[in-house]
Amino acid sequence: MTDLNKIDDLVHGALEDFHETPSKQVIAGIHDQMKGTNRWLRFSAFVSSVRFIIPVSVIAVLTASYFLFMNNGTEMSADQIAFNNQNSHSIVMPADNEKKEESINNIQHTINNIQQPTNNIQQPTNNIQHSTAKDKKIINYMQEDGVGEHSTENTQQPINNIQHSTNNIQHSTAKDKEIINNMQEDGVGEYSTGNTQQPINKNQQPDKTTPDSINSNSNTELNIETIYVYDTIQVIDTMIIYDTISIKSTEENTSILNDKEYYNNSFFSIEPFGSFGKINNKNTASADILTMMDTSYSGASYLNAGFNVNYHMKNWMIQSGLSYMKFTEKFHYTESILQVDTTVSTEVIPGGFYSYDSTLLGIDLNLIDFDLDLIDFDLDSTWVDSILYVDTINHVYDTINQVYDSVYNYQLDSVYNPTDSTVTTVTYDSTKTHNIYDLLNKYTYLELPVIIGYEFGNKRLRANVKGGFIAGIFLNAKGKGIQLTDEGLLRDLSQLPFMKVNLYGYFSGGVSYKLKDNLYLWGDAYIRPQLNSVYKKDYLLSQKRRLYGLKLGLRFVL
Amino acid sequence: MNSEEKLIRDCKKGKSAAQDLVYRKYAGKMLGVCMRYTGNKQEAEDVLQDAFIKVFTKIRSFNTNEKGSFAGWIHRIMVTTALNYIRDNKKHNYHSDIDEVEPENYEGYDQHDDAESSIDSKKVMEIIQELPTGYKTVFNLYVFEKYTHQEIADELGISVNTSKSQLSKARTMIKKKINEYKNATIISKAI
Repeated sequence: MTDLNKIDDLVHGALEDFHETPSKQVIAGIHDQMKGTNRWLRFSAFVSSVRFIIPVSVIAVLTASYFLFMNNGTEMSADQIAFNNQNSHSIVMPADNEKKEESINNIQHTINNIQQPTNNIQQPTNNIQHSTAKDKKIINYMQEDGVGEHSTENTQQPINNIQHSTNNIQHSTAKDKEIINNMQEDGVGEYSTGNTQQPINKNQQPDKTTPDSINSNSNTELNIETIYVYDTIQVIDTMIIYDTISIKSTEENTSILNDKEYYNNSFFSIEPFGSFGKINNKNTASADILTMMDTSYSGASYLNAGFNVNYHMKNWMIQSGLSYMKFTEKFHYTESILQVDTTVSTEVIPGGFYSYDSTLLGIDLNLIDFDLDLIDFDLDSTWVDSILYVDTINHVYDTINQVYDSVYNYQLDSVYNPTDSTVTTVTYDSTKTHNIYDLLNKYTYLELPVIIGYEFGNKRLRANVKGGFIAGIFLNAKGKGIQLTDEGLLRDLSQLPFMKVNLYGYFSGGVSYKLKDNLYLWGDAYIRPQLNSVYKKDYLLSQKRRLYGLKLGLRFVL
Repeated sequence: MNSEEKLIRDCKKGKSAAQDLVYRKYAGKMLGVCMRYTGNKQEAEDVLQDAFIKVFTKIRSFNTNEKGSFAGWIHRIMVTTALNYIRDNKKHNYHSDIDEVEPENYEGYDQHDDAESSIDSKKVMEIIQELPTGYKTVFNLYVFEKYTHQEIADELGISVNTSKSQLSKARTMIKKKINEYKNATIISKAI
């Protein structure tokens, strides 16, 4: 058994930490197969992120509030209808001529009853402001058709009340006009309710001042009382006009009225508070560069200020303007130090034997002119990009000088001899393999948005959703960036190939709140994914910014 | 948050750079695991690729607090994927007649045990890879994954006795091959 355990232990010990380098096809295959999955993972991560949930929640709450607000208005109007109809049902027409006087008294009572709901009309309609000629047509029509003239003295008061009410109506819609037309074509009675729905022949209408002309034999509802009721019905019809106005009405109609007010204007918006938010960078480059970028990024922010002009067409609007955009990036960048104790110059004679006494971390062949086959170096050393770490070259032998001893012919410590043989002294610390920079990079752009939006809401508070594009024209960049052709060395940003125009998509949801007649406070929550790279295609790094944040401003009526 | 947690979080977000780093960190060792279960490096790389795709696809289900180390989680995926690969390719035969199960017999081996400890790990890997699939599967699960015979039987759908038999035969064969290798080395040096 011990022997068996020995076998197990032997194999386990030999293979427990066994490493084997996979071929490049494996990672390439993984990349190929993960493309779609990564897209889905990124989408899922975005959907479940705060920067998605918050704006969507805000929009959802605003939308829900809006519809809730609208529904409450309709319910209130429906109550009013029920109340009014109930009153019109209370009209009871006695047919007996002997009870004429009593009937008239009843009618008087009925009309008095009608006055009550009619008076009720006044309150909501008083809320409606700005009358138009269309509304006046309603009254004119009533006068032309003799609605008011056929009324008894007792009915004058409610009619006057209605006139007063309708005179207060300002701004009607096509729907109101349709109602009037329908009344003209189909007869007013059809818009009445309950007892008043029977068509009435206008010829049967009595002289308002001669109650004796009333057909006293009539047992139908078309007697004098009916006529009086008819007049009263006109009042009720008018109430239904009120209903129609108010239903669609108390809220929506107000909205319509405000739309006219609102959308007859263009607006000038400024962003005195700027827009602010965070930046996510989507970078694509080699894994080494991405690692360097991801770990070196400590924060990015931006400030955007400018003005916009909105042109409204009904609920739709077009927005454009001009703004100044400044991105700021904090960079903790780790730059590998080219460490050379001993200069490796072109004086090294090809064909000789040389040995290195240090760990060879990397060799830039451009810096060392020698025959690799003849040089003894440590193949097992870890290879690190851009670091040439050579302590000493021991010139053992060369075919020309026939040197066999160990004289250090090229020992020039702390001197860096680059490709062009220009000798450059670098600050050298044998314990330091990297330079760490704290950089603050700044990029400025002039931005031109072209955005369309849809607005809805009431007079004071309005919500909107917007979408469009923003073109950012590159102005300048200050700071340091990675010059990838030099294996990660830092260069001035002005040397990097920036795109002249950055193109962004733009999606937002927001609200505007009326402060004064011509002044609105507004705020938008938005996301701006960049569509093209910050850099030109020939640059190894592709960087796309994704901005999200809040925007606040003031909007003036032009 | 340490660097590995950040790496895992970025992998969960589908960042290919983070996936690259995870791959670079674990691929070498995990290829060794896969090679133990397969016949050659190419098959092992196929398993490795499938397993890493599973790692990156299922990484959202990985919870640092609940499931232990990330490396252990990746290791389990490698083993599971390797077993699935073996099943799918039907290159093995776990099942042997219980009657054929031989008692463990350690006789007949020569006495070069003292030299076994110095054997190269690559040679050991070769020897493991040359084992019949059933042998090396049971051997790997028992020796490296610390499975019991009952767990191996459940995992592979074989009987406990078959598992014991396969393990015994695997040990026998390994021992034999190691000794052959050592003998050849001694002869070579003598020459």
